Amino acid sequence: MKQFTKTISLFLLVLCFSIQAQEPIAVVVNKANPVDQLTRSELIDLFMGKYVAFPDDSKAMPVELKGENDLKVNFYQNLVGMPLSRVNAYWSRLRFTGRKRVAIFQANEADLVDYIIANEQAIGYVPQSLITEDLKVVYILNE
Amino acid sequence: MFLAQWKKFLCCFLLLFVSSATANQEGNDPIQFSGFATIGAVISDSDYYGYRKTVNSDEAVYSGEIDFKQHSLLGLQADWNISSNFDFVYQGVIRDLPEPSFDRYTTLAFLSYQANTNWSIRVGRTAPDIFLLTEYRDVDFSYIWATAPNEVYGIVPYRSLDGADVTYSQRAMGGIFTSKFFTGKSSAEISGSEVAEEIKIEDVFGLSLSFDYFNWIISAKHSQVTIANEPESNVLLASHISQVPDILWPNSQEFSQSVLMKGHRVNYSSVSGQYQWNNWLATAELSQISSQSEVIPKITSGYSALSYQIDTHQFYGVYAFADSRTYRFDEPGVNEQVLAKLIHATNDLFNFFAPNQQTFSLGWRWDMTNNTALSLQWNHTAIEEMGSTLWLKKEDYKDADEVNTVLLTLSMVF
Repeated sequence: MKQFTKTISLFLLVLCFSIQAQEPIAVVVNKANPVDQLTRSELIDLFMGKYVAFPDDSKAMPVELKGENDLKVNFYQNLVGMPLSRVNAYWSRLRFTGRKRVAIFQANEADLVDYIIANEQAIGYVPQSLITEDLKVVYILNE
Repeated sequence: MFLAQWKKFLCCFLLLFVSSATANQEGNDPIQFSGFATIGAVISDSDYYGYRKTVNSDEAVYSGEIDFKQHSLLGLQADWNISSNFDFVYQGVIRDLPEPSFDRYTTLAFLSYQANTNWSIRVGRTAPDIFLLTEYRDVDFSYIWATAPNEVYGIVPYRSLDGADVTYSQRAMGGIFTSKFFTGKSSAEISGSEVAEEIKIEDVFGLSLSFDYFNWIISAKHSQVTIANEPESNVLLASHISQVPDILWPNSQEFSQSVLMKGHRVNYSSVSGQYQWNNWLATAELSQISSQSEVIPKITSGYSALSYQIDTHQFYGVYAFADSRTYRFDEPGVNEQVLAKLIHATNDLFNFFAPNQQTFSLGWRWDMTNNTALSLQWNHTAIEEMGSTLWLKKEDYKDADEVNTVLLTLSMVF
């Protein structure tokens, strides 16, 4: 019985640690972008390719990380509650019916931040620790 | 000669794919290559009703057979970003077809112009948007089930539409409202047990409306088409009936005209909804096909599906039905003993487009990677007497029957 309690305690400790280890993800735009905040529904529209524009209808340019980056996996799990395979399944509908999925792909988080700093229409997601004064936070996931 | 050229073209295209590598889908190059594929195996347990994916197919799967043709396909796509507003898209889907040709393999070939966030126009060959999944039903990776429900999608043979469409999207009531108007023409083969006929449609006019809000989407679609050619079987039967003297068939001349389809309008309508909460996903669609032609009866069909996701696994159930009138020859004053063969052929033709069946499906999908899924689906179908339009038949079999079908598919995008 004692061993069982110890195992459960250890399991809960690991679980708490892993939950705490997930750093909040900040959705950021260029500092000059007039948008101050977005709703979760607007973010889903933007990143799932449903309506790729800011609330004032100005064109948006989502910036994505290439491949199966952990940050990307966590971002979509938090945003739409889906694993990347389901998100890919959704995007495949857009792509193979010939609707362009508007996005710019960057190899890593540093390149992604640089791109957003250089482009007023850009919007992307970064770990909260990477936020700089040159970026404006419009939403925080997993806070 | 043509086949050799086609093979060369295909080899060039595949070489381009190999050289561009799969990562190109996530590149920022002006020309991007991508694709989708399914390897599908099917077994069925009926000696008389042969399973097929759609009415296009002139081959089917009977008891004791393992088929790899019905669901296997390879789709290749090139997207050319000409400028910030203009794009060109080409897509070819290689699959088993009754009349294979470059034209039939080409499913998309259009130029699109994105005027602004709200408006876009496409001109060329696009996918028909008549029911919820008709635009992407061959991209098996894109939806949970191993295949789109046959009761609704098996009866629609058209894979492309040559024409134009205009789409308008707008934020409204916290969601996205999208409307699309499309027009054009198309053609496809419809196969029976003994014949495959090309059916052309023209003057296609359609409207698709959808409202997408957070975790649910509803849509309504309506299209009207005009049949542009007369299938040879109909011409032949009309000719035979019209030659029967009045003493054996009093109104044979008039009746023979009812067999013809050219110039008649056909309407396709559909309402559908999808709702996602936690790990559950519910989808339902109700569709109707109606026509001026007496050969094409009113067909009401639909499905409802529920799936539950556990990590990379999804378990689902689907109920689907197709309901239409069953034609039984009942013309007054006709000498049915002398004209037995002709009446038999008339019954067959008037029931050719009349599916009557229900299917319960259970399935499991495993997302093996973020781009590859394995699906296993069991279908139990109850076919009503003379309601087997979606199947091929052996020996003129017409009885009610129950058929089990198992599909195993490996679908992927790259």
